[in-house]
Amino acid sequence: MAEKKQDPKTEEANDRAEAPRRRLLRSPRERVLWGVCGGLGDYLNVDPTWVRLGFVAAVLFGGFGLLAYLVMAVVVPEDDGSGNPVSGQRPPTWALVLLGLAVLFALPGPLWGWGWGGPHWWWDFAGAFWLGVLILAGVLAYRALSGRPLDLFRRRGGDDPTKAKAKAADEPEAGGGPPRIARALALIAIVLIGFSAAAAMAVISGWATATGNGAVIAGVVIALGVALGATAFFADSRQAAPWLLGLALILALPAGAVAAGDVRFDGGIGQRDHRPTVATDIPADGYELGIGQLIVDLRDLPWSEGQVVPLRTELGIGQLIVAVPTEVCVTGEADIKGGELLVRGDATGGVDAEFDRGTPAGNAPRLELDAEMQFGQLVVTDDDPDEVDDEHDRRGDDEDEIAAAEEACQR
Amino acid sequence: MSRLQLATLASGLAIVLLGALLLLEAERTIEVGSGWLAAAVAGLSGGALVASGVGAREP
Repeated sequence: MAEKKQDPKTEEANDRAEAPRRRLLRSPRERVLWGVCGGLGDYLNVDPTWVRLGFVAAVLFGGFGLLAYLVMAVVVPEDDGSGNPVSGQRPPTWALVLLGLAVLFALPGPLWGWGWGGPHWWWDFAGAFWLGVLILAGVLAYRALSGRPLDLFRRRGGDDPTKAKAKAADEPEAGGGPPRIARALALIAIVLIGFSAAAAMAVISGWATATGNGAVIAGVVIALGVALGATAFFADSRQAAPWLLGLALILALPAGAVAAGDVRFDGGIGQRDHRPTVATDIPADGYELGIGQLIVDLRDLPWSEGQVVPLRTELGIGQLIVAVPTEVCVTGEADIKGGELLVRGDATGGVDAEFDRGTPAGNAPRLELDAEMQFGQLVVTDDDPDEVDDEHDRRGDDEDEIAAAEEACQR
Repeated sequence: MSRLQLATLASGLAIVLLGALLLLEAERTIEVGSGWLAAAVAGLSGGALVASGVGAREP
């Protein structure tokens, strides 16, 4: 009997139906990091080198390639060598950590006051949105880990939740429980929340140390050290040791950095405006402020020939404005760890900027300055302090004021 | 009581020393230069991490 000849189109369709469905998996053989490019190359039938070049090129587009690679490294399962995903394998830890960092830097970074575009611009723009995203991520993580993922993340195939749960209980190794995408998302959310919590603790530690409460942080570090040492005696509690160590270092390192950098924000936050009318109004230990704007207006003092008025100021972060009459010679020293000094029109900027001028030979009234700042701008001017604005730091040297200051000191 | 794990104990001791150093510095009981303080903090933190790593390898 003659064999019935099949239509070529039907034959091709049958072949397609019989061929196993090709899955996108990370390659265990062609790999530089996590086998994403190798797996994509296999999937697309392209040399993995071209895929790698594509990812590298995509990095140039706002880091998209890097983010895409990390997402794929986390979400795409690894090939077990037979074209099937490795059963029960968790996403690579480092890919998760890097993805968490990338997301923190790229997206809600400015939520915490740092990141691209200047502090807080993103918060002003969409801070509440990112707070919502974080809360949603936490809810999803909780639901996924408690075995109740949203429908969105359930496997296709129509298993109802009860059956899926029963199946998960019976076959934990065979891919039961939350699907891989839900676990990956849950882990990303946990990493993100963990990073945020660690960053918050580090900021609190540094802040407390800078505001003179370093002893409290040191006490907590000592307590954590004692607890860590105690785990050496009890095998049951050794699982807690890495957590205790991590917590201790999260607190101790920023505190140590702040202490080593001698960063101090004593004196509160806000704006302080001091306008003494007699020299005895100026406190012997001077004026200090933690963060904000500190104005010391000395233009109303009754300055006389040969008079020396000492002024001590200390500011953590912000702007310090000292105003004196034009005929007063400014001497002494001013140090700033980072920022700009603008003393009578003479601009100096950068790290560890300082102003240091000795006593002149003349008999001019003199302000003996002893100013210390951490970060920001220090302005000594004969202008009205209320008219000193941001333009000041973009003007650079003011030749007229420099000449007037020189003249004042030579009288 | 189980067998004493010396590496973990050393790690805890390094953290206690680190806290004590920060406490003395915060209370101005000692005046350590910035460079020395940074080196001491880094050294003690590194020591604690190394000891903890050694401890994790012990059975």
